[in-house]
Amino acid sequence: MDEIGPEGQAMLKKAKVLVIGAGGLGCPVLQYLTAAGIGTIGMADHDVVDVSNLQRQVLYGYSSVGKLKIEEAKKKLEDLNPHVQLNLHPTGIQVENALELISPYDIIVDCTDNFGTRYLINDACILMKKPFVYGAIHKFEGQVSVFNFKGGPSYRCLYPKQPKEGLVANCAEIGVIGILPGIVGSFQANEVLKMILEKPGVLSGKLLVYHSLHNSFHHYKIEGKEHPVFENGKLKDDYHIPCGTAIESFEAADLDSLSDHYEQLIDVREIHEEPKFDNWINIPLSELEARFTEIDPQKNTLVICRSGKRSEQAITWLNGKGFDKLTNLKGGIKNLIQTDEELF
Amino acid sequence: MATIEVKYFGLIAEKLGRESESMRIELSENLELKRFFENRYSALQGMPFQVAVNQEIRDMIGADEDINEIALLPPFAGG
Repeated sequence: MDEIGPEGQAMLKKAKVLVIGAGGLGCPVLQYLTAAGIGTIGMADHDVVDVSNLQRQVLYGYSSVGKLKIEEAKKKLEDLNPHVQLNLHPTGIQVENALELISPYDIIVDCTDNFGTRYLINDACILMKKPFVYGAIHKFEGQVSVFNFKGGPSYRCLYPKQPKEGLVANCAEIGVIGILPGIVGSFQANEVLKMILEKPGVLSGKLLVYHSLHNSFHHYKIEGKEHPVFENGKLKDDYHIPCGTAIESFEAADLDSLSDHYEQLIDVREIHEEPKFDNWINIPLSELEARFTEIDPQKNTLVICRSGKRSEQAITWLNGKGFDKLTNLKGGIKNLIQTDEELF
Repeated sequence: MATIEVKYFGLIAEKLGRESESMRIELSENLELKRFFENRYSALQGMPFQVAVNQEIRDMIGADEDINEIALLPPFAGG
């Protein structure tokens, strides 16, 4: 194509793009950027492929289930274009690594599925002065914009405050039509190419809203506002990044088998919940933040509650604190002590 | 009173059971639209969303402004 030519191809070859999230949006973004011949592409995601992903995450197949997404993606992408340098970042983006992670890249692509990570990407890009291409979907609708591009508005100019968790559900909970992330991700990839090739019409200062049922496009102008203040150039610490990785779970046959398999048993039920057991450490979920240091991170640990729900929450939170030897007691102890219902 | 086309997106359209409607709105100086819609529809209270007036993200309007369209845009989480 005349408009790109060898000069444009060289610009693509020189570019370094980081794609955060290798899910529904990440798959088409990675495919098109790789096919276009971007020189270096980073992939940041800590998640593994689940069979429920296959309807929309088209880089993966049944043979990928249970495997790390970015490793599976790399196999496909290397075949698509072996000249692209593919960097894997299996820790995903976290508050601790965000600035260092995005630092070597020219453009960041936000293909994540939760607000915590979106706000973290936004703030990290502000601090590091990097533009990022935003895409997000809800059932049949999608949003696309380019933020922090040449001093343009950021995500916080559109939505200043991070919504409370639970107010807006994610794809896994509410569902999304499988083709939609393909369409929205393609728009994101298109913006990336425009930026690298220095083409006009980059979607900065504008929110594109697409509705796949009506095939409608709406554009909304976004005014730039003052950036939030980051003390000492540091990120905040209240993004509430979900863990994302599948929590390991243990299905026990009886109570005795718990201590046979695990060195440390953490009971996150409240103080008043009975029965209690001598060799279990009782740290109620409500006190976890204050008392988590009582847990030995080196020991293989089973986390226990009545039904398995609170223990899962505890593990998600503890993973964020660096604990990685935690297993959830599937179904909680109510399944193990069914005979004595009155105890609960 | 002005008759204005109001567009709803995402979870807001779902909660209200419609994607658009014509609404007669008494425009007054510095009317805060987000609050106006929260008062009109209790389902919107506590929900995150941003208002666009004539395809521009902003919350305040002036009394003598010529307004054709208002859109209520919730953030999307999915990806």
